[in-house]
Order: sequence, then C-alpha cells, then structure tokens
Amino acid sequence: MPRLFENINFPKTIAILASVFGIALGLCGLTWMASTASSGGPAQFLIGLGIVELIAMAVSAMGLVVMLILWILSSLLGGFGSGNDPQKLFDGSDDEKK
Amino acid sequence: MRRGYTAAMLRIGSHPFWHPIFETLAYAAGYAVYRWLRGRQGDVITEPARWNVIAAAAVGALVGSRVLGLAEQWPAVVSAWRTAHFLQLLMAPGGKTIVGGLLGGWLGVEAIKRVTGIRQRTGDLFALPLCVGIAVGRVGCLIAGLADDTYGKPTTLPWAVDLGDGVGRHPVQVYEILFLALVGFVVTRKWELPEGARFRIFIAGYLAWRVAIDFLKPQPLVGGLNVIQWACLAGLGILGAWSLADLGREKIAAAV
Repeated sequence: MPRLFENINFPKTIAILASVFGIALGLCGLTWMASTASSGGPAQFLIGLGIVELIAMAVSAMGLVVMLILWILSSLLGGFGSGNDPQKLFDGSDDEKK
Repeated sequence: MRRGYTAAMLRIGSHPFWHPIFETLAYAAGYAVYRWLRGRQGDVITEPARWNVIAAAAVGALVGSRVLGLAEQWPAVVSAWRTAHFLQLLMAPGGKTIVGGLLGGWLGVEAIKRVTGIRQRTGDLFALPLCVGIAVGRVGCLIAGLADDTYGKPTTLPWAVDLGDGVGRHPVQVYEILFLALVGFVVTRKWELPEGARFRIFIAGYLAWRVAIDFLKPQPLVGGLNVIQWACLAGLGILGAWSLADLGREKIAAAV
C-alpha cells in the first residue's frame, strides 16, 4: 500500500479535482438555471447536459474526498516533506541586474 | 429618460453560458502564467512542496468561495434549510466568490505550511497568476451579465453597458480588469522587496479594491456594507496584524 502511495502525486491530483469540481459546480448551476427558464425542446437538451455535469461534479467531489483521505494517510506513513530546500532562488537575469 | 439609460451605451446582453468557459480559461491562464513565472525566476521551495501549497490553496479556495457565496445569500440559505432544498441551493448558479476563494486559499496555504514546516513565504509566485486569472474570469462575469451577481449599479456615464434590461450600468468588471492590470504591473516590477511582499501587495490591493468597488454593485447591505466588503475588511485586518507581528519580529531580530 505505501508503494502505491508513492506513485500518486496527491497534491497535483487534488488541485486538478478541485478545479474540475469548481467548474462543474458553476456549469451545473447555470444549466439548471437555463433549463428552468426555458421550456420544450431546449430544456430536454439542457437536462441531458445537466446530467453529464452532475456526474462530473459527483465524480470530482468523491475523488477529492478520497484523495484527501489518502493524502493524509500517506503523509502519516511517509511525511509530507517540508520542501525547505530552495529549488532555484534567482536566475541569471537577476545577476545581470546587479 | 429611463434611469441609467444613455443613448450611446454598449449593448452586451446576458450570456451566462460563457461564464464557465471563461472560468475554465481563467484557471488555465493562471496556471500557465504561474508555470512561466516559476520557470523564469525559480522557486523558494521544492516542486513537491509547491504542489502541497497549490493543493491546499485549491481546496481552501473551493471551500472559501462557496462558504462566502452562501453567506452572501444567507436568507436563501435559511429558507432552503427550512424547506429541505439545501442541496438544490448548493447547485444553484453563482454562490461562488473570488474574495472567499482568495481568503480560503490563503488560509489553506498557511495551514499546510504549518503542518509541513514550510517557513518560506510562498505567495509571490501566485500574485501575477491571480491577477491574470481573475481578469480573464471577469470577462466571463461581464458577458454573463444579469445572470451573474457581479453587475454594477445604473449610471448615465458614456461608457455604461446594457446587460439586456435596457439599463445603463457601471461596467464594474472592466474597472476590475483595469485595476488588476495595474496591480500586475506593480507586482512584476524588479524592485527589491522582502519575500512575500508581492503577494501581500496583491492581496491588500485587491481586498481594498473590493471594499471600494462593491459600493457600485446593487448588493444587500448589512450594517452599511455587503457581506463581501465585510470579508475584505476582515482579511485586511488579519493581513495588517500579521504584517505588524512580522515587523515586530524583525525589529527584535535586528536588536539581537
């Protein structure tokens, strides 16, 4: 199990899922509003679209919760890693400036 | 003449379906600018640590934007709770706020930094991407028009926009885009600033801007201000307190 955790970039996955959830939430809401405002043919199309958006929202929300739990578990097992070592503070352009 | 009507006003109408498209573009543009900036100037933390920070910011922003969005429409929340329509309200359009996202994201980052032991100031790399992302998102808010809760009050100024109801309104989204361009210009100057100062300039500037610009939005007021303005003032208060505490620590360190 810990080896499986090592192969997943939890923070990256969580960031992507959070973005997908945010967009799906907005999309779903707008579709709901448009379908309640219209009647007949367009409403049928919007309901189909709304179902797709609902699925995206539900999958991303569930994924987000699962990934958050797994991330906490993996961090308890292996640590988050403080990342206090700087990667690259300044590039050449700063030296040129000086 | 009708209130807020000007013959020369720009007719935009209300096109809510553009909003999520621009919201997606905003995330993409913000991330692209972040990648470009990080590649150009480097980072004060490692890539895995940076992803920890980004994940915490994303989750915090998601929660914060929704919580403040719901707080903004609290009478509807109470009513939905009583009538068991809370889930419907959660899925309803709008109800997400940039200020809530910023404050929630900021809180999330501070929490993860505390948990993981990151001591560096990590926000500078987010200042310009946030300016770009919010500006792109605001284009969607403008096109969404009256379907989005971010439109301005009626005005007879020559640059008034008609969002579909025949009333000339302040293009508050355009004002905000211009303001963000100014903040983006400031935070990308090669001035020698302490670590984290560029993010603080951005967040202080944006929160102060929202306190001012929201007077041009027809929002329900609580104690003279809307919920967003109160949240901005709270954020500014926290930022001020942290900055003073930092200043005190620096003075003590210099004395030792």
